[in-house]
Amino acid sequence: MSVSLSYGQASNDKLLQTLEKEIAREVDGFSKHPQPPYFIDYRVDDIHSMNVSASLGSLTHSRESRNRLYHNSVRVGNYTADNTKPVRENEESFDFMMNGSSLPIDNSDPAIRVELWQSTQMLYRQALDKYKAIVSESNLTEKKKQSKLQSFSVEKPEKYFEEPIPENEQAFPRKVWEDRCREFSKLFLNDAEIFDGKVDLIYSQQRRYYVSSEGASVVQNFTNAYLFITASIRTSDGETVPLHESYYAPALSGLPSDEQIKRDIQSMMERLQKLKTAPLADPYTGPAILDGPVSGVFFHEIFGHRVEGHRLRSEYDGQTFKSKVGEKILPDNISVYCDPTVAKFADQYLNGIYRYDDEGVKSRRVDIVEKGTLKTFLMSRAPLEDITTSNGHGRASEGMSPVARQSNLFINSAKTKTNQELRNMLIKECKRQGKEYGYYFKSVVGGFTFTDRYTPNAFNIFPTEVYRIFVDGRPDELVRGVDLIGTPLAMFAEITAASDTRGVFTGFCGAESGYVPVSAVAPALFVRRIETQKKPKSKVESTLLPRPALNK
Amino acid sequence: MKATGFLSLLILSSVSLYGQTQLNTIQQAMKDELDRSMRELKREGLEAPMFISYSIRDGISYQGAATLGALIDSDFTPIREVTSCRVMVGSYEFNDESLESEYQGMNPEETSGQVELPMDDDYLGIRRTLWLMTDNVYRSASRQFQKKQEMVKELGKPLAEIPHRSFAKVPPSIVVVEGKNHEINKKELEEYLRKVSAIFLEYPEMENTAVRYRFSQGYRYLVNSEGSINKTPYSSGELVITMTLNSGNGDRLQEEVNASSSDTTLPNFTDVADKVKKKIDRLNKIKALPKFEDEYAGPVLFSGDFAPLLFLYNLGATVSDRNDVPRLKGYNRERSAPKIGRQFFSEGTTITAIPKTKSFGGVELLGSYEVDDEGTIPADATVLIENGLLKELVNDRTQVKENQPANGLMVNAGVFKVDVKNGVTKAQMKERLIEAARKEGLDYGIIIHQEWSNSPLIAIKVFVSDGHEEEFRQAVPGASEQLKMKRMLAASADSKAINLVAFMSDQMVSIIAPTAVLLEEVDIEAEDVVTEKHTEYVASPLKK
Repeated sequence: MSVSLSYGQASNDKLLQTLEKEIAREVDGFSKHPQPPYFIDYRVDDIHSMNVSASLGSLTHSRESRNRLYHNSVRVGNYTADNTKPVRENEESFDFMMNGSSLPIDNSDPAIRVELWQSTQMLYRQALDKYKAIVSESNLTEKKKQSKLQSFSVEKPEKYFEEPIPENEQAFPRKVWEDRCREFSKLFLNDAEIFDGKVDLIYSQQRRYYVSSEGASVVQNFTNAYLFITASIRTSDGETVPLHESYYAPALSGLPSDEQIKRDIQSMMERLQKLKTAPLADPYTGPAILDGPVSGVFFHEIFGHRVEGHRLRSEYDGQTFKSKVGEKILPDNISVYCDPTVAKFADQYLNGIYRYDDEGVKSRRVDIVEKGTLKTFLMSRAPLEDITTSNGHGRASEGMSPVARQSNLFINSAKTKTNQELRNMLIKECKRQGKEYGYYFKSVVGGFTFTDRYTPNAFNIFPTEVYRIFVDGRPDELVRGVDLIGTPLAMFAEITAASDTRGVFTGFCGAESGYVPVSAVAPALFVRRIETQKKPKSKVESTLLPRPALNK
Repeated sequence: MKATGFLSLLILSSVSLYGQTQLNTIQQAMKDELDRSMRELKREGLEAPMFISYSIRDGISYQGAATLGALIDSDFTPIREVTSCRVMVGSYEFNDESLESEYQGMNPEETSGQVELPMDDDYLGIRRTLWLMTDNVYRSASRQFQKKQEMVKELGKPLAEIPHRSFAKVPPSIVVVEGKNHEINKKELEEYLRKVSAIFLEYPEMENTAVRYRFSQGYRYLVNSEGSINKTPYSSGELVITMTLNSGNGDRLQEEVNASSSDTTLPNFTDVADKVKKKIDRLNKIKALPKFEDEYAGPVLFSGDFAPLLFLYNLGATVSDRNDVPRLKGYNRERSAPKIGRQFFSEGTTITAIPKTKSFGGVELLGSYEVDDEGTIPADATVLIENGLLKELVNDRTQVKENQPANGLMVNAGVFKVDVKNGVTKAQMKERLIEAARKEGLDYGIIIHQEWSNSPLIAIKVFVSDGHEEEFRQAVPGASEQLKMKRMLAASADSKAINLVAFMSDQMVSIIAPTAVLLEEVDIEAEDVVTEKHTEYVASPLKK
């Protein structure tokens, strides 16, 4: 990432000039009206991306595209109470001000400004109507029954400018990656039982602009390279079992070497062969070890989503931890923080990195849990009663309205055990519980959770490689068809120990504000009691004819 | 736009010429996998396939858009997809598609376990995709066939007494048409889009202006187990310029300039600029018109594109073969096909399908095709409506009734020509309208004029007393039932050709029909428009 701290260079950026000029004109134009907006912002994502896919040695997709998406918000009222409030207390306000639309990719001042002007006009009309309804309703509501929540936090307007990605780095080596994806995916042809072996490369260069009527002006670059490998095999009983491998780096050059990728594919094929005959696991409750990446996803789902501040404003949310600030919620040795300023852990790149969030607030490390005690929440500019400012975690995908989201989630343990010690603890606990075996969750593809209070407040994690560790010393046994389920508070109480090494999970998190890149860095965890359920069946019967071959 | 001869080589035949046809990688892979499946595919205890066909679309599409002189996007998308994988089990008379079952529709699933078709000309890769699809479709079809046999058995009636679908036999077709590869110059297109869209910089009162261009070209391939091998090119481009004018009363008036062509030729800039200017003038004129607020029932003269489109919509509803059969159990949603010999259009109206005709009056007919999606070669001309009476349906290979031969015609593609006896001039049409209104004791008759299918309608009151005309906006005809063409009082002698994208399809359909029609009895009412108060709080950046 090339960075310049000199804001003076910003004067050469045509798009930035246009955005600043239009926002100033809007502010000036509205000032002549009795109820002008007190806040306007524009966020523009200029995206150049390349997407290449191959399956079993053939190219199936190859495309390069360039587009610009913008998000615009207009607020009427004031920081204390504005149009984003619900009209009636205890109602949910659903206006996320989502209006992501395309903006011209040419730096044409009139075309861009007309689009922004039309959007601002439309949003202002809606905001004004809603604000009038709120004011009229609030006149009918007793003061003591009115919400004490501020609508929008007051933040320092930031100025930050990164130089554009140099022209000589803007060209995409598409042909090279078409050949690579073909070559990698071709390896799966070596196993006639693998019916799908795909390699997908997504590379993007993104320049994000943020300007606001408060005077914020932030321009930052993001480059992301993702390589996903997926292969599926049919098991002896007709189930389809997939395995996934993914890599992330901020640049194509940061992805693993061809040799490494080929080795990983080879290993994946070997594991698929083992999964083919692996037994289907029955639902289980008992001790388990979650390896680093799995415990990362586990924390992201059961904990991370419940400390995203904006949710706690809603009476519809489960608010699991809202009243627990200052209380012990985890073992003394565990600390949890989110840090979007960290680019790497050990030798692995983290993708939840940014300098400023999508509301123009400077990113920072947020210590959420210190030595087991809950300290704060992840905050966007939607304040809580006691936390009235953002801590740089207002995030959204292109064109969506930001809410508080995770970035790079770190789970630290002050007291650690070696992996062998964790294993010993698991066996001991299994014996105590009278279990023949415990589970070792090695890898995971993702998960989800519900946080509202109208559905069971549960989570579901999707492991891909799960082993039984037997108490009688038998070799570990690979099993399939297991999902890890549970409820957050019960699960937290069962975390007993953490390993001295940490693993990384890198992926995308989907929520109200769309998909954002996130990472989780976590130690392996020994959990006294977990619960599993059977995975949904995805059956594909064996084909009647063999895979086609030349002359057949 | 000019019509272009883009067929460089044409081989049409209704006999098998398998051995003489040079196949490319895609066709060879289709043929070899099909042959292998016909030869070897069989599930124990179930019947083997009796028919297999594969269709693949292979091409590229370009989409670009600009507004106010600036490009919004400009991208190519390669397209290679299996558009159909049909595996039938049973016989031509009775097969897995013959009956509706309680739980499933007519055709078996073909998506699960699918592997994407390679973009590369990878012979084995293409076969792998077809292999997995065929396997899935066959499994489903063979089970369906077994179930349907059991259903017939349970009824204890001879098959002849049970309404069912059969599969028409058609001669195998070898249709190989080499198309021209139209060069798509991205840079030039982008410059054109910028230039045309910049016209609107001079018109700050226009909102949401955009210029969009889409062009796609490639080949459609079909191979079936009867020996048909088809390779037919497709290419079509469409330029759409949209604009909106706020009436000031909260409603928005939209207009469109539209041009289509089978090649990448674009209308010259001066002509486009002139058309855009005319549309803007027209919108401003419409904006100034009073709203239609009457309730009218009486004769209505439709002109502009409305008239040919009326013929097309009525024709589509009339000549579709439908092919519904009653379910033996459960809910029935059967709609029987229209009866041959019944009157659907006014006397004197004849409608002919001429699917291979390429142009009319200098207009390219973009719905034109040589062979249908099932490999059936249509006749050069098929009369569907004769003197107002339904003479023939458009029939695919699925038959419900005897004497329903597959004729290679489709409702969502092709070219249809409407001929009316005793067509009259525009002036005579107006006289007829006045005469009909007078007969009904009305003060005025109405002309509904629509320039293009997406343009605003104008209602013109034509007064019986002296023939003078008054124009109104926001008028709409009543229910579509009223717009049936059986009671047509007159049609214009002149005809025009219109191309449009068929409903629920990406194919084009062309209609050649009179430019005006007078229907005897139609309701015209005020359009119910949702209006949004439009205060301009800050002036447009385009306003100096």
